[in-house]
Amino acid sequence: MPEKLKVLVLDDEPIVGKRLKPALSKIGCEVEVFEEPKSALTRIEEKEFDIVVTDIRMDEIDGMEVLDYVAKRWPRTKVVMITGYAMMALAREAMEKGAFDFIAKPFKPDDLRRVIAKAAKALGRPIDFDTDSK
Amino acid sequence: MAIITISRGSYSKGKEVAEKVAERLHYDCISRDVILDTSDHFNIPEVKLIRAIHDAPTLLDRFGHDKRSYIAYFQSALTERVKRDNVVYHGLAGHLLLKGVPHVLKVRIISDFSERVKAEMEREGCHESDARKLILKDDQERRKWTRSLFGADPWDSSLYDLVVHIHKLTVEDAVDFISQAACRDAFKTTDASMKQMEDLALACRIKAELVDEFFDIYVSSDYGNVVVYAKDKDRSTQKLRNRVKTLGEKIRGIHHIEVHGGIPVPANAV
Amino acid sequence: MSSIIIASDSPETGRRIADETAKFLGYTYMDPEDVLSAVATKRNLDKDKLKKVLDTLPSSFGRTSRVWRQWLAFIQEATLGRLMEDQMVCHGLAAHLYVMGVSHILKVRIITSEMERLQILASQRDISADKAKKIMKRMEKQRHQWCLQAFQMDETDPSRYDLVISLNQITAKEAVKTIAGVIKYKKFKPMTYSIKCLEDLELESRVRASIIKDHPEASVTARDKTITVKVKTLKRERKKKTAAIKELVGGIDGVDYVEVHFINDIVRQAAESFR
Repeated sequence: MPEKLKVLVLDDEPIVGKRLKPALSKIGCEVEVFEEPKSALTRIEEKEFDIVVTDIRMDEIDGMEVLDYVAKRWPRTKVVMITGYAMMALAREAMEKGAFDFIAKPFKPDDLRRVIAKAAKALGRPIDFDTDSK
Repeated sequence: MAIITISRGSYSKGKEVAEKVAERLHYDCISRDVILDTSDHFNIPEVKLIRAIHDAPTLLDRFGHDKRSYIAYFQSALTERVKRDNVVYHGLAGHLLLKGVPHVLKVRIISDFSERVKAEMEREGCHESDARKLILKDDQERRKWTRSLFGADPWDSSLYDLVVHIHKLTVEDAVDFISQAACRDAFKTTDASMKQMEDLALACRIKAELVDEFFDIYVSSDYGNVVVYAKDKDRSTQKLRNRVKTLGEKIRGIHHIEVHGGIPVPANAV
Repeated sequence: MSSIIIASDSPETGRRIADETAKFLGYTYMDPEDVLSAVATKRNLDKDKLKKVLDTLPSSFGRTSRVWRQWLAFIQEATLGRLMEDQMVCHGLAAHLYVMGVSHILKVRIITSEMERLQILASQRDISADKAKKIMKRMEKQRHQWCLQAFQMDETDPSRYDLVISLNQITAKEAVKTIAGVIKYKKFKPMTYSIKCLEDLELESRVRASIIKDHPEASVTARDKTITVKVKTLKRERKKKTAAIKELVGGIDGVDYVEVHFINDIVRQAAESFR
């Protein structure tokens, strides 16, 4: 059986993690959810995730810093940014810094699953989800 | 190599771009020091000079000629400084003061208004509405100033070779474009363009020397052959002729100099 | 993949730069002629007249301003439809005025020297330089008015673009190279959000094109397949209007849900109360 895709979800709104964990587990991901950026970074320091999904606007440490940190620590990891304050400038900044994708909230679980599947494909570990439907 | 002028509004990151371009290309980066040069050279208080080249001319100023004199001094100091080449100038009206020189790359940096307001709030610790007002006032002053002295709007893109929207791109992108553009053939200093720059500096130097006594004059130079243009052919023209004769001893580079009155002024005259 | 919109003060130069950029990058040049032909065929319109919408003010268009707006909406719909394809270079369809906030689309304005524009005009119309100058001034004024009337925008405002390049000293070839270099930046890579923004704009334009004839004053916004239509109406007409709009919009491909919002038509209300 192929190894599960290791995904870290970081969002300071508890509801996001609660919704995303089952949605991603369903497509065969092993999901760890964090609400505190600091504890997420501690975990990232010790474990190489395949995909990190992070909110952008958070207290203390924002998602852009998380992106920088992951890019330095684990260059292979794909980072997906999610935000309720999507704007063109922010989206471009995230992509320039090396984000794999950028999604505006609210989104449907399928939207994120589609992005995760795309990232899995880019990592050379495709999962069973229709990425071409969009 | 080239001369690069970067025009910007306050808090548009133009200064940062200018400094980084200069660093990348190993050029000198100048702005305020030109003002200092001018004030030393022509013996005028720096504060007065800053006000003259920043605030829009008031109604009274328009009839007086203080401001025009200061601009002439400023242009002379600027051309004197940049004719040595390999320099990035960021500040007011560089693109207009160095107009007509082929190896001058003229750039404008613009930034989103909201970002500028944010930067002003951070720096001044003021409220959003105050920051907004301050920036609007500053923009208005700069536009008025350029319009009243050069008849041009600094926001008009056609005055520049490149306009970079810093918020949509980034400081690094802007630095890339500008550095690459400066290395293109069109902006490379040639013997002819260098001569043109020297002629411009000479014309500016002569105008700065005369402007206090003869307010309404224009000066052009081609290979050191200088023509001073007076508005009318009257008594003051003779006075000007006499004054001009003394310049050869004081200013280097004049091959020949003459005064013309009441004829059309060519576009390259300052 | 990313796309590019090129605007210029000279249609000829804009077209040339767009075409050369497309060739340089291996992108598709979106020929305005093709887009206009497709609209003319689909809507059964005269192509030459349709073309005039893009440079004629409603006052001199020869049809009502209502028709002018309708045809403009049709062009907008077709252009946005084509921009949904990958790697397009678009010019000449005023897309720089209505494609906003899509991060994978690079917007560039090309400025031509006045001398060159005058030469083009003088040779095209076989007129003197003086006459060309006068005509050019008039055309500039008219173009400014057109942008304001069509999209309430000033197209010369540099903040509308990512980059403005003047061809006074920079050559066309160099400008093409610069544009091609910029589009390769990671920030112009399409992402879920930017694709969604473009999809919303495209759906919005399709909905607007389909209701503009019956509801010319309606404003349309699309978000995630939900359409919000705002119309001015009298209280007593609300029910009827809602049903009519829902019927028109509900069947459009890509629409999941339709909301109709009303703004009180104070003018009509006042007029009727005096009857």
